[in-house]
Amino acid sequence: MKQEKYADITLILEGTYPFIKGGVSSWVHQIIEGFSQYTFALIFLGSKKSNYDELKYDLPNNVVHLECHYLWDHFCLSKPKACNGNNKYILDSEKLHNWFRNPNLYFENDTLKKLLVSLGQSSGFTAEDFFYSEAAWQNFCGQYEKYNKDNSFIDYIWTVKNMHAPLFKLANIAHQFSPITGVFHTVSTGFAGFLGSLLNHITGRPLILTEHGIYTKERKIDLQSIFIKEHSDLLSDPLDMGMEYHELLWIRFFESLGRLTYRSANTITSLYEKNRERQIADGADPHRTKVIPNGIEVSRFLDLRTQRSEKTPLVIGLLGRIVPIKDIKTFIRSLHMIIAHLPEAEGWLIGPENEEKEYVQECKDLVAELGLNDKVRFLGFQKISDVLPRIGLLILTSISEAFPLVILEAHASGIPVVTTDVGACREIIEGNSEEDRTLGSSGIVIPLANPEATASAVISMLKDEQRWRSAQRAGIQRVERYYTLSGMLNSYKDIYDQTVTK
Amino acid sequence: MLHTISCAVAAHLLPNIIASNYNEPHWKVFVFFFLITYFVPVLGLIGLILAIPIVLYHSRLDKKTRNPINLTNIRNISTSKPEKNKNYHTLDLYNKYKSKDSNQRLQAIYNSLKLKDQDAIPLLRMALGDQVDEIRLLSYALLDRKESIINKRINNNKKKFDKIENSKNKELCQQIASDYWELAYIGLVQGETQNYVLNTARKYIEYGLKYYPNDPGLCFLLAQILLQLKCFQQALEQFKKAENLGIDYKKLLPYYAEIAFNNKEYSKFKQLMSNIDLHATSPKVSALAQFWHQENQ
Repeated sequence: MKQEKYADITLILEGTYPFIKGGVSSWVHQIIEGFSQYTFALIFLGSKKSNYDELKYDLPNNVVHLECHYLWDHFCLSKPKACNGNNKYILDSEKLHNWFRNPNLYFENDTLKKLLVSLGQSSGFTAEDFFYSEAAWQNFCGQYEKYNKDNSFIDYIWTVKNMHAPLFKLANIAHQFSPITGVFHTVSTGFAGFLGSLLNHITGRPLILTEHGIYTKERKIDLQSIFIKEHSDLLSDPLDMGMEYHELLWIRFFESLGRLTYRSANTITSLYEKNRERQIADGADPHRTKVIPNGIEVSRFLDLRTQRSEKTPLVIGLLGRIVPIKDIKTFIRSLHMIIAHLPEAEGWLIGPENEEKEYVQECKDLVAELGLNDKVRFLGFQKISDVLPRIGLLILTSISEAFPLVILEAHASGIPVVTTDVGACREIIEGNSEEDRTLGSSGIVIPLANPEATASAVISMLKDEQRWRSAQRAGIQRVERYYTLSGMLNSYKDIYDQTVTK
Repeated sequence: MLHTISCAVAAHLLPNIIASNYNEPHWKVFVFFFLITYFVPVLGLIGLILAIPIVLYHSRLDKKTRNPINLTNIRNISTSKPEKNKNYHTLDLYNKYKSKDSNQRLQAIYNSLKLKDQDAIPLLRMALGDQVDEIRLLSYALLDRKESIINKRINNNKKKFDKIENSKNKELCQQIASDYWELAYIGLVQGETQNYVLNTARKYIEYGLKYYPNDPGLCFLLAQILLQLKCFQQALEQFKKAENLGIDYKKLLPYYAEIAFNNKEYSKFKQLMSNIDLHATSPKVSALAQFWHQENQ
């Protein structure tokens, strides 16, 4: 690709587009394709180069620059040598850390700018200063004495060093970034958000933050899932928040990166109201926040609607990866009850099975155990256009979701949805405003991990033709009115138009 | 020249030292040793030259790996680090879970690991409805893990049971039925699924009883399952049978009381409750029995 010297918008992408497929990547692709009038530069931040292979998307023609950086690959430093370090920088950064600990404290913008702009610079604070200087060492020891002296110094020092090392790498990336840019747009907080903050302060160009999930929350959940795997119930006491002290430091680190990004961003968007509230709770200025829900190209689904048979097929489909977070077992258990009332009903599990093989096996064992072998089909990954016309009802039993596109796709194809009350599901099914609610429910919202409630919702929907039809109508109308791709693009157009030319 | 003379002397002496049992060393042996000693420095030099690039290459690699920053995954947990010795009581954790602070609620869920399953599970199920994703996910994962462990045991035992040589194995029947029973008893499955699980447990127990009709343990477990399935008359018959086969009457009192209550035989229920030994029963039953003890006084 020809690397241009100017891009209207620079997207900062951490562990996603164009190397990983998924919801966020699809959204990024939609944005780039939807704004053909703008040119895009992409900065991809990955963990290690070996974790990624080829591009998973054909880059549209308006992508004029792509650069990739890997934060956990080797970090080259010069040979260790003693130095004094920049005491002034360290004192200012201590104030910044105090602000991280207590957001109610006042922290000047000028000092923040100075800290960010001079990070990694010989006139400011280099990685060598951080790792080898007397001043930095004194600061580590002081902080340890003040906050953590009950815990291991070795754990503390290496945690602090490991977590700060990528920041110097990001500072180098920011200072070496060549294209002149109208606006920077980061698709998460975390390292991408930090890079966005650096670029915002170095270049003076505005920063937009779009969060699909909440990055800090996801890191916390990652640590929890390791806890689940490792913790032995009987042999040890549960740790504070299930984590070792230095792991809590990592959580605080990501929270701090989030706070910094929220402070730097001119506009902060989320997919639904609950996430906006979470952003505000985590330090975002409410006036800069905005909800822009996902949207789909409804015209793509018109044909699927016409393919539907007159009679509602008694097929309940779950579209998604076969992983614990989707709570597939509740769906299977509910099928046991559904089939007792509707013997012709079938359950289809449509989604990749390669992520959690042990869980997939457990689900298949449960199917066999409940004698549902001829009623439940594991179809693996399928093209959505092949399966949606054959489904009578879409079901989501997930324990956690953000803004599932699959509900919009089902509605656009004329399928009502039964879903758990997670993420934005309730607002998509029941409406997000007074006006929206007048359309009626496009499905049924059920409690989590409750096979009986799930079964009764499915049965009531499939047995009551009138209810099914009215849910179908509400779903189609809701998607066409509130969740179109053009609606989403228009919202971003307003933001881009204001910032690109500013 | 000096090197040549030294090599000749060495070639002359070495066969005498190494092969002293030969009286007259052959001239070829002399030539062999001469050539070896003569060319040793040359061979050494070649070896040295070849080794230099290899050493240089490795020292460069070493330099890279000696980097002071070891960027690995963020987790290296040691589960052996003990927290302050704290006993967790069910009520404490329920109160802690009522907190508005989501961190307190999350901590209550972590601490539920120190409770017995049957006390922890209602708390975990309650937390499935929490607004905070982290709490919901943790509760779900802990419930799922408890269930998976039991299911794995059931599957393994069923595979063993399917083999002909194990088809009359009483322990296997009892173990499978107990695991199904546990799934229902501690509340991991509910509603229709619970009935299904209990009926499966019943099937295995009845299978075991076909071969061992007078086993008190099997009878007692079957009676408990029947009671849970609300088949009160059949449950009563099985409890009686278990009692006749040697199960302690005192242990059966709470069950008899429950059946009497469900049969609306309240005076019998009162009498049975007042006979329960407060110290020898579970805390829940003990609390209930205490009430009836007081009523009778």
